[in-house]
Amino acid sequence: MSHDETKSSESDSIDQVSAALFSDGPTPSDITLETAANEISNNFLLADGILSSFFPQGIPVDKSFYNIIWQTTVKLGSGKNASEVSGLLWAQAVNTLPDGGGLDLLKALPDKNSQAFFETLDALPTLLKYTDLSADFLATWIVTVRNYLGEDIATGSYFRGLQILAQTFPDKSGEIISILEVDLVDDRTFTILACILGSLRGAEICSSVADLDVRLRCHQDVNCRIVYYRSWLHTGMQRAIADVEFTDLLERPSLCTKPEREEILKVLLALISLESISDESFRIGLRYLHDRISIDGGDFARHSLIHLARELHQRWKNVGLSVGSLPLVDLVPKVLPIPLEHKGTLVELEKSLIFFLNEDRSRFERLLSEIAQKDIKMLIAQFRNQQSFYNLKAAMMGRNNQDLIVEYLLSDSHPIRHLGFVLFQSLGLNYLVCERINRATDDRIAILIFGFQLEPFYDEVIPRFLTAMAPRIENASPDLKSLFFDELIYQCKNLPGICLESLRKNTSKSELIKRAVKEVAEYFKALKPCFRSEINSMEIPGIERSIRMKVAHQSKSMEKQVRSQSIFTQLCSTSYCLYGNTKWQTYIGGSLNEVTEMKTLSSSSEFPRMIGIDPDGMAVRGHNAEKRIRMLLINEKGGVRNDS
Amino acid sequence: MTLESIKTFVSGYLQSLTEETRDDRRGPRYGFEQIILQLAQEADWIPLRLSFHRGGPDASSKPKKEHEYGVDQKFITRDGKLMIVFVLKDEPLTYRNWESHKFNSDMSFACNQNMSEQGLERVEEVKIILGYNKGEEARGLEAFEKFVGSQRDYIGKAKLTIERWNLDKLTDLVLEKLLKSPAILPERFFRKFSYICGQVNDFSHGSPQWEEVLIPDWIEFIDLVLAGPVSVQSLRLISISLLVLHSHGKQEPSFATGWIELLEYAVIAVWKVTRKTTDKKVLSVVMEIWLHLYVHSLEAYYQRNSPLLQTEHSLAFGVRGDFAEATSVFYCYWHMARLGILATSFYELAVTLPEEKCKDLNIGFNTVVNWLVGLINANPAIRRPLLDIHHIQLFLVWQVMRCAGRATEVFTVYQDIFERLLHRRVGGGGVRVIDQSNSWQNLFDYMVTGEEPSEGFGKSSYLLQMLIEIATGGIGPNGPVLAQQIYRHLIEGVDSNGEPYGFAEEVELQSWIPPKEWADKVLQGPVHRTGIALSVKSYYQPNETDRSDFKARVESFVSETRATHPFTEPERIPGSVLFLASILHNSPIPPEFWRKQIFDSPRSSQEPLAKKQQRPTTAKKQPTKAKRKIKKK
Repeated sequence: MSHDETKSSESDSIDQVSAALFSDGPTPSDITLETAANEISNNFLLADGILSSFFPQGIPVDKSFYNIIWQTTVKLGSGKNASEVSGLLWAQAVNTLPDGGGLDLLKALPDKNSQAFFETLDALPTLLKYTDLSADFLATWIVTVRNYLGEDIATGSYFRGLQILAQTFPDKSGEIISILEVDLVDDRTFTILACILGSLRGAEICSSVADLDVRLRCHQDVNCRIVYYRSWLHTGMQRAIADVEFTDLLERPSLCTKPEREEILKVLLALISLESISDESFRIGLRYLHDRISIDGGDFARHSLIHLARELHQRWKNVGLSVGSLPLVDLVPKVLPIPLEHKGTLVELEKSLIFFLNEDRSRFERLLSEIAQKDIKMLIAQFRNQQSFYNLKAAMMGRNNQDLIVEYLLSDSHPIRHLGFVLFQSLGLNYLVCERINRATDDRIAILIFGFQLEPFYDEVIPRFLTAMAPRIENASPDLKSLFFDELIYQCKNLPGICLESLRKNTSKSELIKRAVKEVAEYFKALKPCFRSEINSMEIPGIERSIRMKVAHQSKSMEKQVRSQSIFTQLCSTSYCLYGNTKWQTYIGGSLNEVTEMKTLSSSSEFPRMIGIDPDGMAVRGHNAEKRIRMLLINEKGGVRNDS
Repeated sequence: MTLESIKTFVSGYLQSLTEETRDDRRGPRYGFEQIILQLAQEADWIPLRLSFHRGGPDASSKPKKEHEYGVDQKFITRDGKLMIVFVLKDEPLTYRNWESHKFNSDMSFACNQNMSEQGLERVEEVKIILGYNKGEEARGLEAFEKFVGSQRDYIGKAKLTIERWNLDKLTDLVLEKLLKSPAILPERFFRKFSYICGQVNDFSHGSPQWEEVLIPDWIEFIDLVLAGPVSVQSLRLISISLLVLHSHGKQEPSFATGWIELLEYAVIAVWKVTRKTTDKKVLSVVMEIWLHLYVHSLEAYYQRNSPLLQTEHSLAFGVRGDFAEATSVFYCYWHMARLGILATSFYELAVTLPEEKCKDLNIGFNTVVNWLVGLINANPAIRRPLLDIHHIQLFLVWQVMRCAGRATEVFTVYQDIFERLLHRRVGGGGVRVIDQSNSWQNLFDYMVTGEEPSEGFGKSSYLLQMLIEIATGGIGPNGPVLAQQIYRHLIEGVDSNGEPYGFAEEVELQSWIPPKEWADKVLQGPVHRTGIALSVKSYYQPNETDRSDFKARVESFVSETRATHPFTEPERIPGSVLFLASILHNSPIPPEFWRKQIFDSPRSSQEPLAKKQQRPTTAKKQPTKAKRKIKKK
């Protein structure tokens, strides 16, 4: 391409940009925009031309300017190059406005009445590259803009701007750090400084960065030290961190405060996942995490660690296993418990469990047991909830889990037994026939039955478990048989629909079940004449009103729950129909819709009888079960057999 | 009720009536001429002459002033062929009365009917009936027969026949024809009573209508009948009202308990009138109503239903799921109260009779105790008191078992109650607290909303104070340990290691000094707002940690309060009646009822110890002799 052709094409690009901006011309291509941006950056008079077309009366020093910048970006296609063109126009306006008008124009950016703020931010890196503003002004302005940005996730352009600033004006950036470090109070400012410092270090063009490092690293203000640690995150994004730098960073903690240790932990969790980290640094990082990580790491550390446990497992196998490094997965139990509202972390945990289930079965089982010991509440909630751990349950169902579950069920530890029951329930196991359970002593089986009494089971799992246990009990001592028989009776009385009916189908499988079913049948036969008989037919004063109140209460809370959990109900309006209860029609937006049939939705479940008959007795039963388990375990450890 | 007992009450009622209804200075007198009129109307006879002017809906009828010439009432059948003439006497038919009370002359007048009167043209037979409601003797009957023999066979063209309706005949006729009719009562009560009969026929026991309309109307009616000077007649009116009411009961199972409740309001009202009189006849009728109507009905009810009550979980079967834990308690404590009262009444009667005469009573007592034990064993709700007023039932269980020589068996019940309450309070069981306001409504509201209905909800307990006192000395050697546990765990709120349970609320023990003349007051209505509330803040000083002398502390507290506030035991009324009144009026029973059976008599400044011990008691301290009698069973 000849020089003339290039020139011609550059002129064309400016023309196309002008056409798009002022004559409803087509959106210029990326190449055209890139060319135009180059041309403007070489000759800002071109920008003046466009600006004077926009503002024939002169550039306004208020939000209306930013509205034009926003529209410019939109008209040019909202891409990276469009933002660059807008940024060049913005920079020229700032540079050419007389009498400090440029600074006033910048101050007008964070305006609560302006809709253009977030869109204009995309042009910030270009602005900062092409304006030579004083460090004093910038120190104030970038903090103001950051605060205006708040917790919005669109911070990418902002920090890219700071990075550009550091690369373009390293000395001035150092000055900004010096200005802001004097009064460091909030975390946002820490990040601003960390970004500038990290970028200076990463660009390796600023001779004073070593001085800054020394000063901030040893600063008496802990916040300045936090800025120092955090800055390595930004450095790591730009270049590989040397082993010596990595080691140096991690050697600090023994001297530093808790916030610093937390900061280093966060930085480490981010750095260790970078491929640019050397194997040696990776191993150092693992060792550090094993030495230091704890529940104090906070939510970020917990979430990251559970995520990294699987993401970095392969790298650990490649470079850590052979030299005796411990894997990150071993640290997962250390960061528990996970609050149930931290859904994202729970999803990470599920993914990690699935990963290890597929990758390393024994490690998976160990991890599950350790989690159960540390956070059984969370684990149970996830397994019991149909919506959560769905993929994990599906993955587990495809495998033979009987041995694992039996092992858990026969555990000394209550949380592990609990986990065993929950897995038995959620994985739909029907049998417990294995060598391990046949080998177990009667006392151990008794512990299992008492453990079962402690489970909040109210559904089909009850008869399923009892039926699964029956073969083992048939060979047991009379005392154990009696205990099991009592349990059968209790559960059949408690849930005649789910339990009794189900066991009735299994009478051929066990003599005990057969006897229990017969006895409970007698119980219900005896109860039949009591129904609405002379002994319990009187109405109870006030009960009808309370039932109505309860229904209203339940209805309200159910509606509230449905509304909070259903996107559908949040999007749609709700009508409370007064009359007519079978068909429904709407008149909306001037038209009458079709008549539709109303649908009745209902679900039913069996209410456990004992909750009503003897709630306190249930509590006592649970308490006694706990006592018996404790006693049996003590006896077992002391070698004393307890046959009662 | 058996036919025999119904007959006895009808007979008693008829016997209590006078010859004619009138008001005199002693109050209203009701005559059995009304009964004759009702029987005549039942037979579709047309009145020719009545001995009274009708009184209207709320007033008594008045006797006619004219000379009756022996004829009190005269009727004719609708076909005009039979004329019936009644000669009524509220005197026994004796030889002496035949002349002195004008049996003879009045009958002679009656036999001389003027058959030429208009309207009697078609009469073919004249029947003269001598009606009397006070018994007879042989010579009186002889005089009557002699009189009959002396009469001619015809009056004019009409055949003359002569009959007598004695008390038995009248009773049979009333049983056959009138027992279901509110008209059996004197005219002035007819309208109110008919309305009540209608309500009993319509309303279900325990329904809002029952509670808010029927019961107030029934109480008002009873008060109306018993207004004025106490008489046998007014008491008999109550009993006959009950019988009529029973025949109107709604045809559904709930009426069985409804009937008992109606009886209870009636018996409490009749016992109330005994406080105003020493008339032995009145007291005897009251006792008869108590025993033969109420106690007998209770016994019959439980005879019928005890197999159901002893069926496991029978009182929680078929009740509303959401409130089952409370409704089963409601039913359990209802039955516990009645069984307790039934057993107590047997026992009270037995101790007043010589040993040889109370064999059946002892059998009855032991049977009821077994029913009670069966109920306790079959229904866990017994171990879940929800209202503080349930202390009455828990007291009755203890007292009855103590009378049966089985007090130590109560230990397990009380211990269960304690353990379960502990679980309830830590949030592991059902409703967390015992409602001190004794209101089912408050409790249900709490169950619905989870919000305490009042600031003091569940924060005070007379029931636990009672359990502590009874456990201290009344349920065997393990009782004091249980009492200490109740205090330590439920009141002080710490476990065996002294670690706090962290209960949602602290419970303060409360005792109660009943008002003077408590018995009279509790028969009238609620007394829970009277007397002195005694807050048992603590048995120990804050710096005392040793609880090993807890029994002594309780005894000291009891001794001091008994000495400071001596309780005058009510006389001439069984304890069971007072317990029933307390239950009906939702009022606590005085601590003295259990204290006197457990603790030594207090040293009172007002009365020497010896005198106190000699004082006759109502619910007697368990005499060794009586206890032995029960155990003999």
